[in-house]
Amino acid sequence: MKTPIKLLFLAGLLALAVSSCKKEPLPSPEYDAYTWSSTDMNAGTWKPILLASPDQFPVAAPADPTSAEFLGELEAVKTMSANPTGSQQDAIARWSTNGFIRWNEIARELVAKYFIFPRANADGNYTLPSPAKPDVYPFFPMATPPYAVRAYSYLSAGTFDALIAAWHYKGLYQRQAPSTYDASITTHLPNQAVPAYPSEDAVIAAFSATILGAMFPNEKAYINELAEEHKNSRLWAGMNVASDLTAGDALGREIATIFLARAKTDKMGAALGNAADWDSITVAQTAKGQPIWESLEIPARAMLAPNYGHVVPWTFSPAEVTTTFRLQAPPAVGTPAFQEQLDEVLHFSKGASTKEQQIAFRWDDGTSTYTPPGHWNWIAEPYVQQAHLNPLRSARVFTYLNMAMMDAGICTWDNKYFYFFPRPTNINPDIKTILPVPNFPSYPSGHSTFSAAAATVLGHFFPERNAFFEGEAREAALSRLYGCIHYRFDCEDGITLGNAIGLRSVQIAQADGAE
Amino acid sequence: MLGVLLLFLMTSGMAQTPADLTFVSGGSICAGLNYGANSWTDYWEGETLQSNGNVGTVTRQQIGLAVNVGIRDWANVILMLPWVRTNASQGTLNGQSGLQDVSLFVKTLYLDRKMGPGYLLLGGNLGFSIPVSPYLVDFAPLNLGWGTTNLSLRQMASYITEKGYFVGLKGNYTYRSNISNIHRDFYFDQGQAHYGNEVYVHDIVDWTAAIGYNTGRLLLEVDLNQTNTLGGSDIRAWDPGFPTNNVDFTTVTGRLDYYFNEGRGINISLTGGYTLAGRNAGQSIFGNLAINYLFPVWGQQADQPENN
Repeated sequence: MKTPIKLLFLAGLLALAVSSCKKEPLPSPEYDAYTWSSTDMNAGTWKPILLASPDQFPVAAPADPTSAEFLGELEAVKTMSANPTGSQQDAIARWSTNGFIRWNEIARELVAKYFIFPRANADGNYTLPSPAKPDVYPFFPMATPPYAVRAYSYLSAGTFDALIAAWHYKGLYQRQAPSTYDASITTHLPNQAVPAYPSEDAVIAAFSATILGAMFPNEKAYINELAEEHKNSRLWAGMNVASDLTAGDALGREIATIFLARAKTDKMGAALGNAADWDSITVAQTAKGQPIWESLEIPARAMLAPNYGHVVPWTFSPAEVTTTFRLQAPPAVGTPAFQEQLDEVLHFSKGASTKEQQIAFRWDDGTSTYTPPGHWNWIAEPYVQQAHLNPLRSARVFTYLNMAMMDAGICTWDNKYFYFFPRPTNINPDIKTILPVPNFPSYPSGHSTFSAAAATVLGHFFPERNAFFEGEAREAALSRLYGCIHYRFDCEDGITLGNAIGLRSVQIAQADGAE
Repeated sequence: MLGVLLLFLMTSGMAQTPADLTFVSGGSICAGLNYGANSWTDYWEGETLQSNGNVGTVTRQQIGLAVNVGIRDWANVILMLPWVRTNASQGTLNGQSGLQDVSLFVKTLYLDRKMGPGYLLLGGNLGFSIPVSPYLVDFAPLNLGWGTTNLSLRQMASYITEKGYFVGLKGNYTYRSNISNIHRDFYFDQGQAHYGNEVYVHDIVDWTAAIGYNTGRLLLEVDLNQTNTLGGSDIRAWDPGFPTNNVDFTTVTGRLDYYFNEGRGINISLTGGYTLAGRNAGQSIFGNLAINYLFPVWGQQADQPENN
């Protein structure tokens, strides 16, 4: 019986050979370092988001390039960049020429880690995460789309302001990169035609670490480690001296204070509400005498963030949330117009095509993901990189993108809790879903408003790709119908609302002095 | 023996399965249908046993087609194709149905030698499986399968006395390809963000210890199986499972086969079992009934395993 043994032995070798070819997918995208497409030395004249003026926080003049102090710094950088170790080279490549993008990726990763809902307690209730005890399960924060988009918007808008200030001082002091003064310094990244003091990377790292550390308090140690690596990568790359970093670090931290102050007073702290809020909302909605939204989770879970509609928007006044951006009522339950759209959801429940199901999955962006706003940050990323935008211009794109999406979220939540409209499955339990039914009212679809707002803003910055962004937004919106958790009118009215909100953000961008 | 490759995933309980040392004789074919069901209410989230009202009891049923061709007395080729249906007793999630993965096994007997009061049998199989429909992979626990292309290598040893009492030991290694597309651009696993729709999954090893009685027409067997995924993450708290989960479980399975005639005709195989312990797995009760028809197709082969 030699032959079968040989055959199986050979087959086993083949299997081992094939299995050794299996490659683990890369965890994060890599981009080549690039020379920035613009220097924007007039950025000090641009209109920031919260800063009163670019010099609101002073940055002291750097040491004279001929001073012993500066020459000592040059010598130190020369040594550090001469022979970076393997891990230092990895850090240089990681932070590369656009550290802003990396911090946006880090925010997405933190959101994914914290986008998870608490389990049911034995008594059928749920405990909400507590900011006072963030490291006790359920861990704080619960990075749902409302929380996530707020984190993305503060991170982007604050970095934008901090870089406007940094660019102002770069222009004022005109201290160049170390290799300008000592050509023997080895550099590992392209030299940019922008002065080096204060370091934009240190500004970004310090601001990002402060904001993300406040929003994800359990992750402070991890975040600070990344910020240190980011700053040090500039020394290893031979791109900055230590005082460039110190000045940038201080500026980033100071500007973070005004964004943290806004975050404390933007009413997000009350967004989740409490048992009394939930009861009074349910009582008031029940009194309307119409079918209303009810939690479909077992056991029933409290409505998500009923007060998020009260959070202060970025691009218009709180008063406009309940006026300009309040939608017309959707078709009333029981009317023929409603029934037709309910039946359409049932149709997708019984027989969505494979393609439609895959679209529903592609845009689900549910628990353990970066959320729909994070998905749009990811969509924007390659366009920013391919256009070789500098960190300041990159932050600007992401600022208007994320402010628009946060405002879209606020107006969506306002409408959701104003109408308290039932989900399709609330009305027809035969409607089964391939996506978990989100635990809040149906009208309008958050994916639709987030996506339409995002597409409008991205279409402004990358007009040649406008049709693509609009197509993606439409697909994201309809994915909720294919997944059977929304009616078509939820999606279409959400797109209309999102487009209008995105336009507000674009109008501010058009007037900020950068175009 | 129930060839449990994956969480909630059963292979056929056909009379001559890839995972036993019973062979269809050369020139004969054994073909049939089987029906299996697997159900759990409690599941291990990591190592914590719990239930979740949003799915209630998860039931997986399958109707399988199996054909075993006796190339030689010592070499069989087995083809299996299951149609699977899943259901959750509670909540809104939509049960799925459809063809799952087709699998093909080449099974051979290396050795059949008289030793002491009985016989020692050594054999093995090489298996291949591939999805045959575009089912939703990232839809645990109602996904039909895991969307990987698998290669498996199993080795089996059995010692059977003249009277038909036997003990056996089997080991199986399943290589799993990456999942080529989970239909989304991002996933979070093992504390890290992953950009892309391709997912790396770990391979699987399973071991089985068997004890039983086999007269040729009647088989009674009890198996203890241990299946381990060679790495991966625990299900996150109150989250659905994900293809990269580290799925481990221990099952006990009873099996009864009966041939109504010697050498040809109808035979049945009935299996049933329970999951004793697990990690990222359902605490399942499962059963399977296979009805096969064995018939000669071409002349009996004289070829026998050498007793070398």
